[in-house]
Amino acid sequence: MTDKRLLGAIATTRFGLGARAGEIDEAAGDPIGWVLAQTDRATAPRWPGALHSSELLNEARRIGEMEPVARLRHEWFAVTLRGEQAPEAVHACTTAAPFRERWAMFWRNHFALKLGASFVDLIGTAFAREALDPHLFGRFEDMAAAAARHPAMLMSLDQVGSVGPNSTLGRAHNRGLNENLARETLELHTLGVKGGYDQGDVTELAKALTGWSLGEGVMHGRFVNDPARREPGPRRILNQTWPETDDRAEQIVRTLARKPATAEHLAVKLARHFVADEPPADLVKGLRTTFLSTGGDLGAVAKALVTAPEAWVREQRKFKTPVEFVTSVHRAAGTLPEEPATMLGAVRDMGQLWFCARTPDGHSDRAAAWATPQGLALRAHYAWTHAHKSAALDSREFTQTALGPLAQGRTKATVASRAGGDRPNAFALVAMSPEFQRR
Amino acid sequence: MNLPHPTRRSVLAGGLALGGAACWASPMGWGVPQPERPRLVVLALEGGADGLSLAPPVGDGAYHGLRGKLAVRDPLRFDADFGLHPELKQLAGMAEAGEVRLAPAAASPSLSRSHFWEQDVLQSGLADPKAMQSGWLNRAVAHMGTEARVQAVTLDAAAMRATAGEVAFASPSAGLDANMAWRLKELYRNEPELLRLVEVSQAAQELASRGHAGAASGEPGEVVNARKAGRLLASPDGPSTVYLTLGGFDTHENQGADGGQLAGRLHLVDAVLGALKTESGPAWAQTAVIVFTEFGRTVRPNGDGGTDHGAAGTALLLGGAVKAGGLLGDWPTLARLHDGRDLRPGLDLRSLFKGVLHEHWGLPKRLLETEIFPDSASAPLLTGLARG
Repeated sequence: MTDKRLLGAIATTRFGLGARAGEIDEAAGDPIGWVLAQTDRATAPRWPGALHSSELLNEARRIGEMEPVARLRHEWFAVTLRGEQAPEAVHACTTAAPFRERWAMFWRNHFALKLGASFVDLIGTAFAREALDPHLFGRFEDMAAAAARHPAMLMSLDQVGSVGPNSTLGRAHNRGLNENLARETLELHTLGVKGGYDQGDVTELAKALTGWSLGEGVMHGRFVNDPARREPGPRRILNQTWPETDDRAEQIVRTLARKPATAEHLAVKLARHFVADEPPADLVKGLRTTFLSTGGDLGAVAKALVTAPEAWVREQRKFKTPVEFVTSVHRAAGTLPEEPATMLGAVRDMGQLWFCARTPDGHSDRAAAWATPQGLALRAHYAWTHAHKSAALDSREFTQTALGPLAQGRTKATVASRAGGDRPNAFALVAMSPEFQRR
Repeated sequence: MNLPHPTRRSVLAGGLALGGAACWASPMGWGVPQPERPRLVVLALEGGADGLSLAPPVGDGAYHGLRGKLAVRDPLRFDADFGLHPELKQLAGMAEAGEVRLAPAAASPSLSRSHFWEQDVLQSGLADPKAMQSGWLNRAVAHMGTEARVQAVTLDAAAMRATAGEVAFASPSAGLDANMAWRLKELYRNEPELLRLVEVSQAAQELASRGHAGAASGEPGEVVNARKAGRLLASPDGPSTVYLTLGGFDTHENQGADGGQLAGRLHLVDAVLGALKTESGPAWAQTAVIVFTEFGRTVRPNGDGGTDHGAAGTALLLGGAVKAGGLLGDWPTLARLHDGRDLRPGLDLRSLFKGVLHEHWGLPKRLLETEIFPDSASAPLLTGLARG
């Protein structure tokens, strides 16, 4: 039965977000089934009462107009942002469907919102709820289309001000294109940087996307498809000609989302995220094939990933990101920080943001970005401060919960030697063990 | 796992033999001190700093007319043609001492007006920043052959592109205390890659804890960091390079002129540069500081009393190791603008980076052209930058 427990430990750490008490045993009965049970398409929204992105943006506008004191405006923003993001961190630490959450995190990073543009961070959570979550195990093209036209993405990638030079608005106000969203749609979201497009395709897609913008007045904070901004005429992208229609831009994004280059791009990223920085070629090939044969069904791709033997090798080849580390510490200890926003600040100090990223290509999924001297020191500090606090476990139970059969002899011995009185250190050392730093 | 490998040199160097128990037998375990070795500080102003306010071109007849309310009225003197913003008092003192060189129209090769792209280009040192994962500063340090255990330091929380690569950049603001480091080394006895991170982190902590802080209470974190950096530079066995960032320069609204929002950020720049000079003490004579930003800003104000993303901006080279001399690159004047709105480039920033690494750090030209800035043939190396 040791083998089953080992697979349970792999399921909870590599596919989940780190084991909670009893989770390794729970998964050990049927490790693949435990993961796949979390891929049900029809799940209730995570935050039934949450505000829609347009409500958040309207509230932000109202505060901006009504509140004369800058300090109070900033305070409102900070409190609202914390109220949006902290529950997400708590959810990651407590969810009984951690594979689903990891999968959601992967797609949030794939469609990373660039921090800094106005109010993008404020609606980063709403973007995930509205554009990504409904499609997590659905069709990729649905997700890509929803993400591309969401207000958060339109703002993040400067689509809002892009106007066809020969459109009604462009002629009247001498306005022009902003190709940012077009470029990143091709480069980051679909085909990938070596996906076979050129600058001509970028420009043509930018022209095709004109019209997509944010509304004004009652439509403030909502997507609009404004014909007055649309560059007239047919567009030619990747050797395909698109006559001018109202839904052309969306159809182009959907077509890009089904291309073999997109399948390859996504297969490499998924295999890299779940299995190894340099992913096994057979696994990439398998995911790519599944994606193409199912028309980009992400549920089928998830199943192909979870049933691939390469994904279940004992060797832990992934170094946890800060978010994964912090989450897994709290899951194993069964605790949360007194102030959940502590987690957001801690991962920021380690160089990662829970939502949004510094750049639209998202956070790195390679060890080199996270295995740094300061990163390790900050992890040790976090573990020492938070791991043991209010945990009902002793350090041996913590080791068993967190690692089960993955725990190495050296770690167990190190912990045992401090199990008596030195509780903060004993917990921190488990969290800092090589087998807990990796997955 | 695919961690960055320790450099050949750091492994060979006296201090940082992997599994080098001997080095830890001595209480400090430092490598061979090199008091005369050159130090390099790189300070990135993030957001696109407005060069026409940082170093206003007072000798350019078009400046006041184009800039309107944003023109700096009462600049400090730099030379006959350029002033310095009134908040840059310590910098003006250094300029008077012949320690400051000004590149009034420095730019990346791409002029994309994108923060993301330009930062990527300037931190990677590559016209095509996707061609490699590492940053130019990291690649340069890897070839320095330094004896120090901590070769390079960053005080920035996020993993920066510029510092990414095979050399581990230490951060003294987040070091490991001796107790935890000792326990982790026990835990990582069979994990050379993790062990190396612990050693660098601990060494950085020890290095940073030397000397007293000397920071005034209430001093901004950026200045406290600059003091730390200065002290590290002062250590005879300290790092060869420190990478610093300062944000808040994306002044689309209410930029201000002699006073106001941007003036506040420039005051901070001045305090940071002043702290570096003060704290580095005698090591200042071996120090060069590069200050750069991802792009300059539009010459004319926008509708919000601010400026939008432009083309060329201002870069500085300063320090005790810098050779006095004229402008770096050309001043293209404001008579004709790039796309009718932005300052035209008078210098490819990679020319400055290459010149400093060659003259100040002694890196061979061929190496700079092939490994550190491989696609920079269009940016010839600048000369006459460093004191012999």
